[in-house]
Amino acid sequence: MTDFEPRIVAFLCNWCTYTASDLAGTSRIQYPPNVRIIRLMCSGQLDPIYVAKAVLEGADGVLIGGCHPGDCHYQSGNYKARRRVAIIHQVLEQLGFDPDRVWLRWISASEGQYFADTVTEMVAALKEKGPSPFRRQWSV
Amino acid sequence: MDGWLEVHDSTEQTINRLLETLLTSGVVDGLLVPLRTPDGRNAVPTLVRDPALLERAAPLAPVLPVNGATVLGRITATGAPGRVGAVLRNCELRTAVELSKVQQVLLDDVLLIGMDCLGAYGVEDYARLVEEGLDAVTPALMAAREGGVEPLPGYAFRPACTMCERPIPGVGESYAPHIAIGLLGVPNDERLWVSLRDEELGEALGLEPAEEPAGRIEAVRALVAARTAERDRRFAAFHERVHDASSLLAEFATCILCQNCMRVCPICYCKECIFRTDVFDHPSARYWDWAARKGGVRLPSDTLLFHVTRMLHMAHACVGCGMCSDACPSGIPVADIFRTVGRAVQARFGYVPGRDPAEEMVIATFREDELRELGER
Amino acid sequence: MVGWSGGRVVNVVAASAAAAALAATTLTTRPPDHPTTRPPDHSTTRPPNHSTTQPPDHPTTIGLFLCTCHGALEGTLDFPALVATGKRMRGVAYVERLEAACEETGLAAIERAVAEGDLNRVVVAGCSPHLYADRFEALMARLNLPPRLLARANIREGAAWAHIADPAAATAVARGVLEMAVAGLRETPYHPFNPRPQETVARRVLVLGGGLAGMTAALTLADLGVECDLVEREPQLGGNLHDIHHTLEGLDTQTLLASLVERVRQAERVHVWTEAELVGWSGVRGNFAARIRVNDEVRSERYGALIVATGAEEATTTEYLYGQHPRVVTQRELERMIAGGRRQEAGGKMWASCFLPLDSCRSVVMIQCVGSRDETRPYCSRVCCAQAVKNALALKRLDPTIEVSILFRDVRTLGTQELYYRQARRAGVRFLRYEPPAKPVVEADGDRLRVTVHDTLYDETVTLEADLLALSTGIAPREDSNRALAAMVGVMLDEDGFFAEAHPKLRPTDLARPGIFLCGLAYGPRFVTESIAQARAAALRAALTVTRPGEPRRDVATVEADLCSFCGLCVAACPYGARVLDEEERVARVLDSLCQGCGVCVAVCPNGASRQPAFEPVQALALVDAALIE
Repeated sequence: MTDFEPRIVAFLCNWCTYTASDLAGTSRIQYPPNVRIIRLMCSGQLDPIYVAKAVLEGADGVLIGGCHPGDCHYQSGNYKARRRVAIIHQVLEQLGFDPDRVWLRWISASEGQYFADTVTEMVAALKEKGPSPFRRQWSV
Repeated sequence: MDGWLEVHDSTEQTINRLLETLLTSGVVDGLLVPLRTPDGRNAVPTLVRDPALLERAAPLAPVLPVNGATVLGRITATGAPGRVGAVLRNCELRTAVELSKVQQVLLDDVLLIGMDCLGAYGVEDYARLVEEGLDAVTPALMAAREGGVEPLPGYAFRPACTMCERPIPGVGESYAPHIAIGLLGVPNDERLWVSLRDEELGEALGLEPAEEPAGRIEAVRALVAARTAERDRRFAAFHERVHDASSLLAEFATCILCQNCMRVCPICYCKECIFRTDVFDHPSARYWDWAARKGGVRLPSDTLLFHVTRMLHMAHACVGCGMCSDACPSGIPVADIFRTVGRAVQARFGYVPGRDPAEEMVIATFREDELRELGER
Repeated sequence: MVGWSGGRVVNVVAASAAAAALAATTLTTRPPDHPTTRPPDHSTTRPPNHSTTQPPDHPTTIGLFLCTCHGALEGTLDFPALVATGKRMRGVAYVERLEAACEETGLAAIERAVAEGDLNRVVVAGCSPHLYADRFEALMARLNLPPRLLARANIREGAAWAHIADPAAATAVARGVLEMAVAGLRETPYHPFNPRPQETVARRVLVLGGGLAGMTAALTLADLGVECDLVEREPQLGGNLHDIHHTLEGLDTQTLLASLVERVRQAERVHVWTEAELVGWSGVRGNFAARIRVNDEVRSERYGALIVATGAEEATTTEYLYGQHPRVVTQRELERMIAGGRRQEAGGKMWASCFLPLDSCRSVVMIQCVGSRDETRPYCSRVCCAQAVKNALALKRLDPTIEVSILFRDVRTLGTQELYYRQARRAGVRFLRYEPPAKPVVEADGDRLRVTVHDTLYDETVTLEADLLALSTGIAPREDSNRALAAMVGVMLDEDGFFAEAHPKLRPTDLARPGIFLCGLAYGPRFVTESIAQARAAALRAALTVTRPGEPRRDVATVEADLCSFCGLCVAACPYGARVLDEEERVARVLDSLCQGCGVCVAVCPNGASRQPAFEPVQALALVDAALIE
């Protein structure tokens, strides 16, 4: 399992976590190349179907990045996202899928280092877990 | 106001007469009530305006061809010209409450009439039972008098009914129908236990006020306990069966993606499911992309995504009516799956679907001080 | 004069140019008196059959433009490999490598390729989409293509820079980013989405910060006929200017301050709120909604643009006995002492030695670059060398017999300031060069100080007796408040904690978010004259923003009427009240002017009846697929 490289699909809020990822780049803060970023205007823009799609298509992890509680650029999108993630976790867990492959993290625009740390941490955690059971699964 | 309603001739006729009174006295302008089809093999929700039709009314017929709340939506959502009295099973009542939260049912002008649900058979089973000349109602009432709810020998209730722990209107709910008719744990061949929301109606119906009999309370409690046990057994059985990706795929292996479960699901209120819109109208090359990436792709595609998305969208509001299992041509226990998942989601938010029209849907609201463990490292 | 007035850094020159342009425009044009309104155009309806991905007359032809950022990315990314991969991607009809996609030559190259190759979708792979959004939107408009058929692939911040240590990984990530951009575009319906015009532009500007830059910006706006609110956190206007008494060139800044405050107070179009603070910000260029706390009341206001002029502060230090010995002060404190200033009680951080009468100072030592140009604060504060020369000359003017020694690392008196440096040398100011890590050592010697330094010019160790030690601590950003403000209004800070401009050369007064501008010390250390020029430039940019017709709105949500179930979840989800249910038609509607484009209504809608044309669900799902390509 040592050569297993996890695939993470990240849905990042434009105003915070995406900007943090930019900042990590600008500051040359290095993090593992395992994440593919989809920019949302707000974590509240995350349709749960996107997460379901990523999971069933075999993403080893899904990272959702939003603004810290109280800091949402659109007032409350992050709280709504948090509810949705809770629903996603419950559904996945009931279906026998490890919900801890779907991470929600509050990462502000200035937390480039924290973004990089989060990706690093997530990659390590996913390496521990091994590949998603849906990886290369043709019959979903 | 709670009290007794005397039974003359038969239980069913007494209920039908009550319905007739509501219609003829102008309490309601129409009734939504199951009528026996002309051949007698089904009982279908019908909007009745002519009292004469009520002679075919079959409020106790143990069959559920459609979730009545769905059709209640059709006759109320865009503005009913009059007040409708709706005879609904308790699962349908819960559905109506949920649909009222999303503007699909307008409860403003509805007089809700509920009754103890003594279980229902699948449409096919019910038709066969009628063809065999069996009477499903009388034995059920007899059993109910003793506090029991049992299917006819050789028949089984719909799976959803066997695990329905909320069969009694107003029990465990913060919202009760205007008229609730009790059959369980009472001498239902002599008198019916009726709970009313407003006093005036009691006088019109000739209700005799009384205390709820202890026998009924006990019978209800026992039924709820038994159903809850069966529910939990089914939850456990589901988890026994489905615990990882391959067992999940196995659970849906026989799915033919007919989407019947979605079409009959009353909580799937969308005018058109997203899986039937342009979003899933993929160009051919996409399938080839998937096949290239995964070695192959099951077709039609997105089978599991369809079910999981439906869970994400509606499990929080699943009322457990079981229409989905009835409609599945492949025998997938859809209701068991959705109830299990739904239960977990609902528990996370302390949400009870159908309990109260004022209770906000899980996805329609949020609280700042909840779920604090999410989002933090 | 724009060009040479000294060795100014490029962003300052660019801002000066804008200010010069402003001086020219104010003579010739006035902004229109009424906001311009365009007729509403609601032609967002899609073809009824919902089958829209590939109309036969528009086969997908994607142009993929790979920007090397002037070659800067070539060291990390394998461009030949990316070009080859790009060419193999389905739907890609053309691939070109550009030096700078964002500049005129690059934009022209894209324009030419699209015209010649009959391309109908464009991927620009280069820097973060936070940069140059306007420029590429304008490009799409020139190409007569719907703006959503442009995709930005972030291969710079997101790939080359984040994985700079591992070129192979960086290239792999860049390839993934390209796959996603191409896949998303491929699935984006061609049918033109006609953006709806923004109905009105709020013709009012918020200026945040009532220091030199903020006041100058406000007055400039007023001169241009634009109303503005000037919000200052402190009870009085003036900011850092209170602590600057004259410039090196001899400009009397206190007179300037007094006259500015007076003119601001007099200006009809400038409304001043002191002890006030911005607490909420949302919206888009031309139509921002702000919440401002004044005393205990929160006011809601609408603005078309924002100018950030929140300033910075003199850095503090714990080095060289500062805060421990009464004769160690900062340059700013020294300046106040020279000006006869007295200790400012409120500031608190000023040392008691400010009472020290200057006439007891026979020997003054200054140390430059204190806490600057090191690990924690790597930048040069630019103004300190001139400040030291200025104070040294002032001391010599007071009493030519005072001994002044300046311990420096590099004397960075810029441009014509060099003349004053020479003047100081002629006046007998000693300049001794030290080089870290061999920093000067300061010891207390009773009431006096002993400073030992290794002078690298003469390679000898010198010990100086000092009556007063002045430290050039430089300028530090107000990090916490900058961070909070940046997060609130949605812009970035640079690595030092100052606000980061959209482009140092081309858009020196713009922040990355359209409609938000920047001037003064909030942007980084600068001189008084530079702040003035930049404030005027920012004001001009803001004035143009609020007097031009509204930008078409591409971010507002739309409703697919034939899919809408009228459930009202979008109404419950929308934090702006931009969603209403139309009882007649039984369909949800969007009030464009209130919609901020957050997409929460899109996510909550179970069947995609709520949409954002710039981010269609087909596109999102295609991105997920592409993200998983191995």
